Amino acid sequence: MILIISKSEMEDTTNQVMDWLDTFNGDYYRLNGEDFMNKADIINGQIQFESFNSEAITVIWNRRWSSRGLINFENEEYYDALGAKNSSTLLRSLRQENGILRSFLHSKLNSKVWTTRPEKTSANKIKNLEIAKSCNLSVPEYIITSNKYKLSQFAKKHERIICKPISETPFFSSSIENDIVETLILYTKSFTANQIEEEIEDTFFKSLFQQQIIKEFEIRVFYLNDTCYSMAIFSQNDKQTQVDFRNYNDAKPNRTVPFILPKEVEENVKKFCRKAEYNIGSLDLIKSTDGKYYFLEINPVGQFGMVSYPCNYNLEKKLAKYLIDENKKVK
Amino acid sequence: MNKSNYIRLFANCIPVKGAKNVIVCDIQRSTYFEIDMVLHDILVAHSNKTIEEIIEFYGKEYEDEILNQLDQLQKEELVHLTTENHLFPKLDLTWETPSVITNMIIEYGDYFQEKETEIVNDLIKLGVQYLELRFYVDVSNETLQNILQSIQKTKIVGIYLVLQNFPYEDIDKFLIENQRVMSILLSNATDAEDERYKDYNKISVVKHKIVNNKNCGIICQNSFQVNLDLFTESQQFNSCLNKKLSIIENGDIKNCPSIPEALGNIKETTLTEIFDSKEEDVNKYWNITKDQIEVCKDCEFRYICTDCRAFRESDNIYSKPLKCNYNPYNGKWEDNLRGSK
Ligand code: SF4
Ligand code: SF4
Repeated sequence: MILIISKSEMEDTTNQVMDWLDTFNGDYYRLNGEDFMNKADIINGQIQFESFNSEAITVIWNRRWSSRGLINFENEEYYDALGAKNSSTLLRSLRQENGILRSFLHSKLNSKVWTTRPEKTSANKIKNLEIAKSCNLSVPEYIITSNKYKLSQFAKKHERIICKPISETPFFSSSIENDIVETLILYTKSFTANQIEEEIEDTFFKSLFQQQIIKEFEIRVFYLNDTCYSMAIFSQNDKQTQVDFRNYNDAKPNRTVPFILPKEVEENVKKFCRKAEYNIGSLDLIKSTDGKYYFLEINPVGQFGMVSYPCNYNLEKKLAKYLIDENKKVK
Repeated sequence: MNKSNYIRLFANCIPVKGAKNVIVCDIQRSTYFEIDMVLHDILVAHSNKTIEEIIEFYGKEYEDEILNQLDQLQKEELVHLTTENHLFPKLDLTWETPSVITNMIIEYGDYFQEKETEIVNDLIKLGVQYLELRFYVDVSNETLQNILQSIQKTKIVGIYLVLQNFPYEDIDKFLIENQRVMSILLSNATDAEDERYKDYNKISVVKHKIVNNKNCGIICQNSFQVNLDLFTESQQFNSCLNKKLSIIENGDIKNCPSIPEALGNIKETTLTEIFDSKEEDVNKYWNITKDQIEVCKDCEFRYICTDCRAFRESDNIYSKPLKCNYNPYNGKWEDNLRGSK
């Protein structure tokens, strides 16, 4: 049986893959993180979940975990009752409880085929840059520091540098008015050496800085089972998206077209995925104006709808087929 | 413009050549542009030449004009320059769906109440994604709510309603609670209703009364849709009737409500049964593409225009849609729409 680990809301991609699994008469079960937390019981080492028997599972599409946070932050009673300090303790404690349960689920399924192994769902960007280098992929030069002097030295070597989060991009929210909540996203920011001299404190929280690559276009690659499905994103024409393509321009969306990686780059990308142990993943690359292809990062549980639809790759079907084939192989 | 580069249309800007005119369908930004024949040849027939080689082919005296035109296209973001021509493939135009039936039209009738459960189960089995629900009589709010409730568990992602009356006080609440309702057509509308709904982009109103399915099939410039789904589906299939099934007011099951042939009646059979036993009749029109239809096959709009087989110019199954007054041979829209109403 194929196990899909996903979340209950806002998951069109999961639904579309399931539609294809239905068409192929696939034997699958969808487990939403919410349901595991709310409905499953663990009795004497066995996970009791409707018809769920971990023995029958062969392959796992590790997609998402839960749509809901552990605490409903809109419900202020939590803060009032416990005070701000205790509410963070409560949250930490609930996280730990949840973490143990999840890791028990993972250990039960440890020997199965995973699209993304549990310990691989959040990528270590720095490790991955090093693995990429060892696979002959070009990566931008970088420094991780909390020291202004060292940063300045680094910045002087390069025309512009960028700063981006080392782990995943956080989403903040702030209430503007009573009911309206605004989401704030940290986008990648670009600096010159002068700006660093003028605008930055002497010390700061340790951060990742990279040489800014001047791009001809960006490339998003969806890697699935040793095949690369690539898309070129022409974001360079548009001031609003020059640094970070997620800073979408809706009125005139960036051109997104199918792309074929040069043979050698493609081989290196595959080598990287094998070495870093990803069966699927969404990779960001840049084709620079000086003609080189740079690896930026991989998102192990990345969205592929945004590559699949514009390029008409039908990746939802291809993933379904992959899961079906893996299921047969093991059985 | 660096003349040693190749110039390429973006893969989602696809030229379509008609008898007289050429358009570029921008399926990413949902619009189309007319371009002239020479430019079309430059972009299509000479796509494996660098700009330099193109100029050489046409002659130095045309250099300024060619560069000018290409520059224009680049400003419109229809083309890009590249040295790596071979790394930018054409868009694959295969159309695929996991559904047996993608579109369903249901005209509400006496049969419905009794057959509702059976129909809903078949909607699931057939994987229906879009449902058009037509009412030719007034509907109560319980009836509508019940239907919307019972199709919750199907795979339907979009619902179109054709109504004679809108049975809810609070339209905003209705639209929020029923996210899958993509559009509502209110027939027989009063001036007050027209006024009330004019700011809703999901709601359109018509003053006349829609009492049957004779209104369908009108083709005009406003009905063109430039998108990947229609563009790809119409390469191999009929752009209106492929994977469509309908139940009309009296329970007859048809490919589309306006087509004369009935495949059976819902009171005596089920949708899945019809599909399994009469597949050949069900899909009689499914594979008729615009490239096979008289006149349409010479029309530059053929992949952005939905076809109509129910109202045609003649008995010939491949004849042009009756309610289209475009002539691709002279590029003109005639004034009078033939055969409508
Ligand atoms: S074939 Fe014609 S009448 Fe039938 S649904 Fe299509 S456009 Fe309407
Ligand atoms: S001639 Fe055919 S393809 Fe062209 S607009 Fe009319 S119906 Fe559509």
